[in-house]
Amino acid sequence: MPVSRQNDDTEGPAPGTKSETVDRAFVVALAKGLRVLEAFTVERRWLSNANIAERARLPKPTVTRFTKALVAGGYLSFDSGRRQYCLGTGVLALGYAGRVGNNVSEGVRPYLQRLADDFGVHAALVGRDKTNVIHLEVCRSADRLTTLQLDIGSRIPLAGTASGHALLSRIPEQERDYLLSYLAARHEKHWEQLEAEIRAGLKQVETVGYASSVHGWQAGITGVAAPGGAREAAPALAISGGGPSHYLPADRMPMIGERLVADAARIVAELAQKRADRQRDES
Amino acid sequence: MQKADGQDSIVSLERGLEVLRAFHNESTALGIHDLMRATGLPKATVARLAHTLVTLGYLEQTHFQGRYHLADRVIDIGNAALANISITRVATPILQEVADRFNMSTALGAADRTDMVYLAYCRGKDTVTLRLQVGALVPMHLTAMGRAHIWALSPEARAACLERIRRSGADMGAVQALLDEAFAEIDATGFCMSRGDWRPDIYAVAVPLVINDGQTVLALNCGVSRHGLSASTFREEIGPALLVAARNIANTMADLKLKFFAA
Repeated sequence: MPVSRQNDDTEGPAPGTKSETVDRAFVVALAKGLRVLEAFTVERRWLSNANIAERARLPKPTVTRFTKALVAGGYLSFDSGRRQYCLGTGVLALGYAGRVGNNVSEGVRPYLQRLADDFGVHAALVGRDKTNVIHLEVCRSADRLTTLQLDIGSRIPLAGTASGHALLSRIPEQERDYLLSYLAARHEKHWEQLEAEIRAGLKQVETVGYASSVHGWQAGITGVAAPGGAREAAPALAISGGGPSHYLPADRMPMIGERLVADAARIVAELAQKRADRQRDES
Repeated sequence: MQKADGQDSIVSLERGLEVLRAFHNESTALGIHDLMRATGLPKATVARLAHTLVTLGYLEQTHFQGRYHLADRVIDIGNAALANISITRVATPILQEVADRFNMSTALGAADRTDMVYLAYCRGKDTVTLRLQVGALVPMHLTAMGRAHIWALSPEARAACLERIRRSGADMGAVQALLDEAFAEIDATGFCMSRGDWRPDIYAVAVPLVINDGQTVLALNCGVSRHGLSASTFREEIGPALLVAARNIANTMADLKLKFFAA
């Protein structure tokens, strides 16, 4: 939508701000509008005005005005059947390409797609986000689209998942102990069992290079994951293959695991080569 | 009612989003003057908007009064938007297969104002990269993908689309000439080509893709940044392969009863 130059900006401090040093340059209306967009997540994709008001902590009339403008700009889409909004394709025009271009996932996709096709699994590049595994790149096999409902940006726990254990294996020991103490508090009830699974996973990575987990994160889900890079390489990354347990018999897991280890090594080598090329180009 | 909840606040939001859009496909930093040029807004306004976006984690500033570059918040909302778009799950494996076969890049795009925005992007293993990504914006009338999209629009939607292109300052005589050629190509073969119209070294072929019982118009492309590739390869091999890919995607979407936005 064209930018109007006649109207003046709404500016000034947030109402009820506690800070004594008021940030006069902060555009409150922009922050509120962005909170409307931020109310939508990978997990919460459809929201009504009332849902948004609650999640964004804004009055409903304010939300209604913002959603109307955001639909007009292509940033939200309204489904009249369900009377809810979802994020529109215009959100991708807000700098996504410029930022995602810096990502490590570049070059990994062809490997993941072959993995997905060869084994009929959900293949992913994963990283760590605090105490969770975050999916950075995801590929599904063309003939089995309904495998796992995990998309780019989806999070699963570090504890008890093959991906989580593969990532934990690449976190320096001191940091890992610190992280485990957090996880112990978070998973208080099941910690005894989870800790045993984590230890077994770390041991498995040490011996065969990959971690596997049957019924780990969620009943009926099987996963295999291999870490990438040197132990101290930051940030920790891993590639994984997973799916419903009835599609993934136990004797398939070592085969997938070995492929993951080999692919992880190739990906790491390619990334290192690319980095070297870039440095040479820049110098 | 507070002033901040009125029309002014809508204008502030729209302007703030314009600042983010100014980055387009740029992973490089932009200075305040770049942002002023891209948005047409005065310096003080741009400075306040950019400052707010830095505070909220959408932009980062290299140092005090330095240039701005994109920060991780744009990835978070972009990922949330992508998770909605069910067609990317269906299209990506099919596009990757075409990208691998011809060792080129392939993409699925939707209209965004006078641009096409990439919803999916795949590349062959050794593709001389075009440095594009999901979320990349390419000008509609200058690309094969954009012209294939315009071809598939209803007469009313096409008129509205051309009006937006006219208002963006394009030379409509030249636009019409490009469209006439593309439409004739699509009418004859099902696909159209671009021979360096957008960037001189990029060759591409594109096909329209219509889903949701005709309600959603998209397009696929396959392109390469390489000199000396013959047009006949595009005409005889890649164009027909893209047509098959489009048919596969549309059929799979219909078979699985998927709409453009995931339920």
